[in-house]
Amino acid sequence: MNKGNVTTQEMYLESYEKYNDAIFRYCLFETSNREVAIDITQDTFVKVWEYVVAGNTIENMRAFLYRVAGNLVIDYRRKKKSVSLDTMLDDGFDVGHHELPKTIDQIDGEGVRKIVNAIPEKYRDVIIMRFIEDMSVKEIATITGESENNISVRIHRGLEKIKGIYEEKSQKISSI
Amino acid sequence: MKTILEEQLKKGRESVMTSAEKNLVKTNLVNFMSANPLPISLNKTSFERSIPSPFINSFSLLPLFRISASALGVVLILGGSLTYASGTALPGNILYPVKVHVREPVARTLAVKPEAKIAFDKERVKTRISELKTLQTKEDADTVSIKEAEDAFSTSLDSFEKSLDEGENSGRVALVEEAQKDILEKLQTETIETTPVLMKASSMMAIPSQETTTKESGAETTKKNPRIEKLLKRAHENVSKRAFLKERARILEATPQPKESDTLSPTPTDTNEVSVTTPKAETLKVPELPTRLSDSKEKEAVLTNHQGE
Repeated sequence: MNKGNVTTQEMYLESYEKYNDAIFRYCLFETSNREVAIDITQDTFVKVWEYVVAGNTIENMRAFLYRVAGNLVIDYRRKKKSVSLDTMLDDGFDVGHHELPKTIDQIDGEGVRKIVNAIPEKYRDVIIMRFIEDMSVKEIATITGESENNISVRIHRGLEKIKGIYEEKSQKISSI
Repeated sequence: MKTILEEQLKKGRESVMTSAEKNLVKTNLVNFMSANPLPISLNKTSFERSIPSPFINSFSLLPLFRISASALGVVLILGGSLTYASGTALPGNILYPVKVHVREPVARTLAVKPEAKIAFDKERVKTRISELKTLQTKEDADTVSIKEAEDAFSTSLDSFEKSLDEGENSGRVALVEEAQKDILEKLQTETIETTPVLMKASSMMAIPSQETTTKESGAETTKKNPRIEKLLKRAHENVSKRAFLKERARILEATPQPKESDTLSPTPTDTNEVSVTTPKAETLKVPELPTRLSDSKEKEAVLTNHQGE
């Protein structure tokens, strides 16, 4: 293997070290399944390598990884329909009063994941990218292919959804 | 509350893979990379975007390249056509220099082995002889045409002699002798067919200096082409002389060395008369160096008799 190949491999592994946590989180928030999230993360980097071997050029590695991971999440959902928290509750699933904190100040990492997973998909992606991965609106627009205005609106509405869900669940817990 | 919520959402960053999970995925990826390596042609990293040179604008050179390629194509086509068409050109024709100075030298360079060089040069000399024959029969042959033929003939003959030397040095004696014989036969044939007077003069070793008579369809025409005759004579002399010297060397080599008591008179260094001592102490006189085809036949007869004795 010549020097050029070694350089490409090194850059590829460097990208893995840099973005594996972000891609894993994104997959975990989207699937709510740790094992599935790890599998999709691995598949994401495999797809990227295949793309490079085919002779293609990647200009923005981070955006490309999110796009690939997003497509794989969609494939996963098609195979297995995701179950929302509302559906689970309607089916008799009791989250228990200890699963969500009484106030928003007491929320932890797992609580954030559950809350984010409870909002509609079109708001979930932008909320994850904006507040968990700390991306700019411009970066999110680049990844999703939407306009910056649309992204800003979705972020705002996503936050409102989370706030509404939290308030609703808090009232349920209080009433128990 | 919104700001608090945004801050709390950042706690989602706590969700990460464990070190064991990261290493497992990395190991799987490295194995996958080994099983699917990058192609060798992909020397440059695919993550990098190629940056065009600020000094050379390839688009501005494109029209120039197209013009150059077109011009080159036209030159190649015209040059190739001219070279091909020059194959049958005769002295005096506008394509004759192309034939002599381009077509034949290029073809000659393709002959690498000594036998190939001999074969090529032999055919070239034959072609020159045929051209001279044609020129000799043309009444309107001008001085320029004769000069062209003369130069081409001299060049071809020199090249032929060099090839013969090279062939002899590399041990291809039979091939050299055969080539010499072919040229002599060609000279004889062409001369007999076209110029009886020249043949007669050649056999007598006295080439007419100013006139040559050509007999065609029963009618005799007189032409003045001494330069052509001189060229043919030179070819005949050169090839015959070469054959004679070779034959003489072979005789000397086959003859036993003379004893000290034997008398050698005159000395073998005399080119006109070479005496060798046979086992019977008899002296054999090798005839004078022939410059005519008939003489070479006489020489062969003498040599045959000598070997018989």
